[in-house]
Amino acid sequence: MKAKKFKWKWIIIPTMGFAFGMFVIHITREKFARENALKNSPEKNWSQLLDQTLSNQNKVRTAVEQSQARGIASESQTINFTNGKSRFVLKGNEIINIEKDKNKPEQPRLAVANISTGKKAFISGEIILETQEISRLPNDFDGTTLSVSRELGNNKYIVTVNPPTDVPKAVDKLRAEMAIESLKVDVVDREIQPR
Amino acid sequence: MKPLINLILFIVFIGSGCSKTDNTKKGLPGNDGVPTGSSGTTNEAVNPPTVPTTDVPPLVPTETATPQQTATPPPSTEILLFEAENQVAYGDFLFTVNPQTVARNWSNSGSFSNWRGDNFPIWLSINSTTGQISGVPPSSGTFENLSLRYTSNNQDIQIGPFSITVKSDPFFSDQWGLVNTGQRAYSQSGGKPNEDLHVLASHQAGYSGKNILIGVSDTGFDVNHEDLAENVKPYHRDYINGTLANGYSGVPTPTSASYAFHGTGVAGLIAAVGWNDIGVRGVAPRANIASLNFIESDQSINKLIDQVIGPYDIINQSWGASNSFPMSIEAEYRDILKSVTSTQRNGRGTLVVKAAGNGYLSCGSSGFCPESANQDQYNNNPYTIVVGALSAQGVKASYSSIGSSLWISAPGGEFGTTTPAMVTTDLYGCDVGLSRSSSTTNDFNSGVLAINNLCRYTSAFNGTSSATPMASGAIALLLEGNPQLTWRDVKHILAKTARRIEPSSPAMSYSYQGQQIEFSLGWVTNAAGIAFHNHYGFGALDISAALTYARSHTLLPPATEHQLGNTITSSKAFGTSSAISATEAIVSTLNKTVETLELEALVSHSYFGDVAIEIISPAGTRSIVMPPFNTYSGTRDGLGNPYATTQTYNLISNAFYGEPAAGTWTVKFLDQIPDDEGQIQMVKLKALAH
Repeated sequence: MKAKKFKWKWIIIPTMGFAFGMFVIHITREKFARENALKNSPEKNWSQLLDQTLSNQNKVRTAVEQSQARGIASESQTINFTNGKSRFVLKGNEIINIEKDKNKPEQPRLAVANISTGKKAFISGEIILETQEISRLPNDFDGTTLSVSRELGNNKYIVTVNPPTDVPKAVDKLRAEMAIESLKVDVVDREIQPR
Repeated sequence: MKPLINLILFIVFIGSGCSKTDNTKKGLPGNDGVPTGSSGTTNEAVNPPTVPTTDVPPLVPTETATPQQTATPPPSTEILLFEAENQVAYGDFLFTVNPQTVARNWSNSGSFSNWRGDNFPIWLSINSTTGQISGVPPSSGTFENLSLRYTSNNQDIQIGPFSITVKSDPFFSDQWGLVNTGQRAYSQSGGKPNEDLHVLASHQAGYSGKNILIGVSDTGFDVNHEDLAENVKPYHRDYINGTLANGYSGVPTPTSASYAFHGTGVAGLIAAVGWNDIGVRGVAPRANIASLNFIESDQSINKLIDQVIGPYDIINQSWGASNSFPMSIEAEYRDILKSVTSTQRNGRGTLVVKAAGNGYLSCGSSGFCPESANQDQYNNNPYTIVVGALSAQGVKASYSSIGSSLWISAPGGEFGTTTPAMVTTDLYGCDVGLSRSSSTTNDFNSGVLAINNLCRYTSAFNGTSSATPMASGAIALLLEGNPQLTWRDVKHILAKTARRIEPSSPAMSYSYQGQQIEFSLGWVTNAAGIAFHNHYGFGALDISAALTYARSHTLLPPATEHQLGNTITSSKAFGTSSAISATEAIVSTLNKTVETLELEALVSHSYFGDVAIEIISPAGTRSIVMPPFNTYSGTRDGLGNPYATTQTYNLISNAFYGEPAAGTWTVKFLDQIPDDEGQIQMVKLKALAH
């Protein structure tokens, strides 16, 4: 009777199967351990969590794609870090803020904003003036010109300052020389974006 | 092009032409074609686009005998008549009969028989008894040298020759917002049939937005786009290169900004030219549109005002402001808004239609902090119609902001990869716009598919930016149907005819540290019997139902703004260990009906994201005007500026529409989250009421 030939495959296949199984178990345990650590730990290391959030490329990518589809962010796929770890910038001026939510410190939130249209104060050079003495408006002083661009009724006027950067100087001048019931600088907080 | 199944086309050719006077401005039909209103305060609806039943000369008959036909007018929903009555729309297609003639549905009296057709294409057949022509065209095309024969008084009579031209729009079948058949629109899954604007019947009834001018306040759009140019009117505003002195004259062109595509997509949804065998179809495919590049300008107060005092019947504002304090809009802009609703359109008022916002998922999957539409200060006034977005499944789009300022919802789509976005016009070229080679949304949007290899259309447009132009287009149809409607009548009709979405939608709360924090009440039916939902406003816009309702609508009496009761000065604390909430009551004796309620409140708090505000009407109707966990959840706004610890809220609620203003109103301030406390300082209620 011929002796049965030893076959290596009966050693290799179970060994590889066992190794693969251990690998899956290891990965799974690590994943749950990480999630549990995030979920259960009352004291979170903010920067560590931030790093984890930023390293979650799927989440970042989703935020970027959604914001692109809404017309908020640019097409750029390149993300560059600025301002430490709290913010990163897409092409141009669009930013994604990573904000810490007091109520959910374990869950940094991704918020997309466009800073290119923010901070428009003085860009338009428009101020809104309420006065019964518009005829006393100083039209030209120290290289600055003021002109009524629109009469809104009820003694309210939109006054354009040229150059726009002279708005603070114009405001001081108006307060000093005119009887003004109310005066405000336009477009301080407006930041209109596509929706 | 996907032909409609079961298309029945009834065309009988009698006569050789029709007078131009038959093509007058269309209107909503009253009973038997009689306008329903007769007094100054009632609806003076214009007659519908009916077909004349008499005095129609024959179409080149070869015999001298002229049949004494007894045709009856067709149901208005079955024939579309544009500037010439030789055009008939059925389903996807527009049939044009030449020479110009009258196309009508009629019933044969028996005088004519043995109808036959000569040289008919294989898809077109004729009923020998009734003369009805029916067919499903496989595609657009022109079919010439057709003629009809019939027998009358033992005479064989021939009508013709004539031709039929069939046209449609190649991507119409992808536009689920117009007709939702469950199509995928190039995404991986389809929507839910019939969850759309119900616009097809309106188009077939003859409404196309003709002579309605819509200002597209956006990034500026491509006025030369092949599918827009025909509807573009030169009432543009170039807010970048123009000046106030020259009326901001010029033609805005999209810049290189990353969102420059935006205006072109919006314009296409409103008024892409219909039935031209090119691209897509707008909701109002023959409305006039003008380009205003407000978003890309410096957004100054002059430009903000200029757009709403312009010559536009409707202003489409697919934009929103940053969600930061202060919450009030400029008093001057508000005054202008109020003014144009009583002065423009011959005193009937401009319709200002605005996007609710895309912030419901502002935390993504990492948390829960739904941005409220009420956090956009431009949504909090009664003169703006705020629009939420629906997915192709007919429910709230994942991103659509919620809030008591919403009025209506319309199709806005999802992201186009797994579920449908909107298909609309785009900037030319695969290196600019939303449709471009680098897009990973779908093959249509990247120009891979031959049908869009020039990237002139996109299948990835979405947002409340998409829902808003859908609503604007629908309102254009409504104004065309009845030009007498005021801005408030339009709002009323939209509210009364809206389709309730998720009718069993429950209240929603968020579990936090063992507490259930309520942020949505679901559908709330108020004392006037009108249901409202912070997710949807009054529901899904249904233009077909709105046009029908408008037939019997009596114009609303004038409305004015009133303060309810007195301004309350307060120092009540809330969010404390002993009292998580505090309320103030305002007693109103105003004997009027509420349309929109406005709250002004001065509040101190160190963390405004925790603050929830609710209003309870005298009838007991609740409305959350500021949900907890809103996106004020931080110590700084989106630009990095610190919040002050005392802020003024300016919020509105439409949930009390139709309720009496008199009685005791309760305003409740709530903070269920530990750590921070707040204090009410001032509370004031106003109402637009009639």
